[in-house]
Amino acid sequence: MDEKLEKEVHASALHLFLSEKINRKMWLVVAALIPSFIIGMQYFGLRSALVVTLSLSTAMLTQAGCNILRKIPFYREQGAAVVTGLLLGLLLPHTAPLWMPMFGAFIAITLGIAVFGGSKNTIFHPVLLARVFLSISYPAIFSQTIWPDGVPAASPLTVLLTKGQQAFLILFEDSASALSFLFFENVSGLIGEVNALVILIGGVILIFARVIDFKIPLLYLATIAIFSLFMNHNPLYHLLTGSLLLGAFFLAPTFSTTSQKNSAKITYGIGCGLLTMLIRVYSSPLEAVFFAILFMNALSPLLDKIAGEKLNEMQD
Amino acid sequence: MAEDEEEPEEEPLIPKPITDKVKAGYHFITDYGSEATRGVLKNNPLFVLLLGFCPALAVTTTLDNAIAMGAAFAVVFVASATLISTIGEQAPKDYKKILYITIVAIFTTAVSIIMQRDYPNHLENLSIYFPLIAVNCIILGRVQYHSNQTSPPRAFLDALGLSAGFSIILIVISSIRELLGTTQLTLNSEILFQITHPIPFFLLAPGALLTIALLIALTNITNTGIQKLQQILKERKEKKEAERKKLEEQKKKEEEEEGEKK
Repeated sequence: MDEKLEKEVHASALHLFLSEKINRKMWLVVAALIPSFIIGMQYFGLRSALVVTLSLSTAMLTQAGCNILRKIPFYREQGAAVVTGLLLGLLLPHTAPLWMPMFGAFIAITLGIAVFGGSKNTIFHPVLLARVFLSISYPAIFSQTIWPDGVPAASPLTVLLTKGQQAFLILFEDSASALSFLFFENVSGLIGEVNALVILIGGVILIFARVIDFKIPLLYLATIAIFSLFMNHNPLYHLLTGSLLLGAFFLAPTFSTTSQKNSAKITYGIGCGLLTMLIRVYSSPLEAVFFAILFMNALSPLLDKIAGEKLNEMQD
Repeated sequence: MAEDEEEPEEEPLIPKPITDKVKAGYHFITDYGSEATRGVLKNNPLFVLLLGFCPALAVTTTLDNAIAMGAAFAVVFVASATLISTIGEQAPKDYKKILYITIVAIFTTAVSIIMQRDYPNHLENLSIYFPLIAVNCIILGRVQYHSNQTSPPRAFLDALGLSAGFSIILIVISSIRELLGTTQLTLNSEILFQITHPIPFFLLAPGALLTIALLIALTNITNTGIQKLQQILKERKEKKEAERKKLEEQKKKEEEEEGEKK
């Protein structure tokens, strides 16, 4: 599949000026992310654009530097670098100090991609690695949602999980307005998370373009919906908060960090969902998605191995 | 027959040439020297043998801690290794390990009593990781090895080298973590070095793992570099010897030919 795609891309003149073997998957992910970037820029103002651009440019420059160190042309694997920089920028709040996106992008490219020898060999999702690095190091910047008018307040998800659904609904007039808020406005202060509809459309495009497998995001979201039903919460509140949609469509199923076999993908999706809900309820609600996907990244080779053994037994 | 028997008696009477003595001395020094130094880089307990990560992860948040841990570890290791190598095979087989652990534990307790008197703060900072020296896998592994095979001076040097390697690595890790995590490197509450921006990630457990991973990569690079260098030197030596042999053979041939001609 990969070789075919690469041949197709090789033939298309549009990408030829950038590199010989460009990764079409990566550019599709970039195309699916750009609408949420534009909407975030509209919502938070120009500073958010600066944050994302800094992260993007640092990622590309670092990738070029790493390529030169590895003695390969500097334009190789820039697709992965662009995805990494863009996603990392979208996962930061617009008030982040300007060195933070640059530092994060540098860590994502060096420790996430270059150390393992390219984007095809990464063990952990580089964006998640950098984002968790930053949120462990500087928790004060990520712990509060900062609304566009500059007033810091607790994010809706934190209220929902710590004070219950009643207190959550008091924030809004009724459940319809709550849903419209979660769908079309700032959810947890991150630039890329303003409009849930755009993220969903981007994810669906990726699924139909066969960039990602539909099983992982579907099972991920379904597990969380079922779990929230057990908690007597409206599942939509859980699905639309805490960077879950970005995680389900853009973080869990991309790069080489997911399980490759079909039965392993099912376990991977369900595991992501269960871990996310457990971390949300018992630990940090806002970073639950990142920690859960990182943990499942570490487990994915094991899941593949177990799935392979089962298949062999069936054939015998 | 009588002549044959006399010959071996005469041999020690003939004074050995000086070069042989020098060679023997050189061999002695390199042998014992390698025993002492191989623990630092070639057989580094943390980065090459990958042993003893518990203290390396937990204790290395400050430089003071690392120095205290390294010193205590060195004293316990050297003393117990030397003592156990003198016991040799006299120890009953069934109770060997119990005996070794007891000896190591005795030294650990002794050092802890001394530290309680002189450096109570350091002992408090090391907390549970100090008594855990008694079951440290580096000490137990090496001590078992020394018990049957090596003489006390060799065991002493080996333990000294390994504990030097261990302490150096602890100091390196802890100075990196303290400097990056808290912006300043302190020794006995004196500031040695300062930077402007902290990265608190390095004070946490993942920071320790990351630092150790990067340093392991660095040691691997240096060790493979040293190996390559040694190989290149060896090849050069072999080449030179081969050339010399060729020349000698040519000379011999020429002489023979000349002799035949004559």
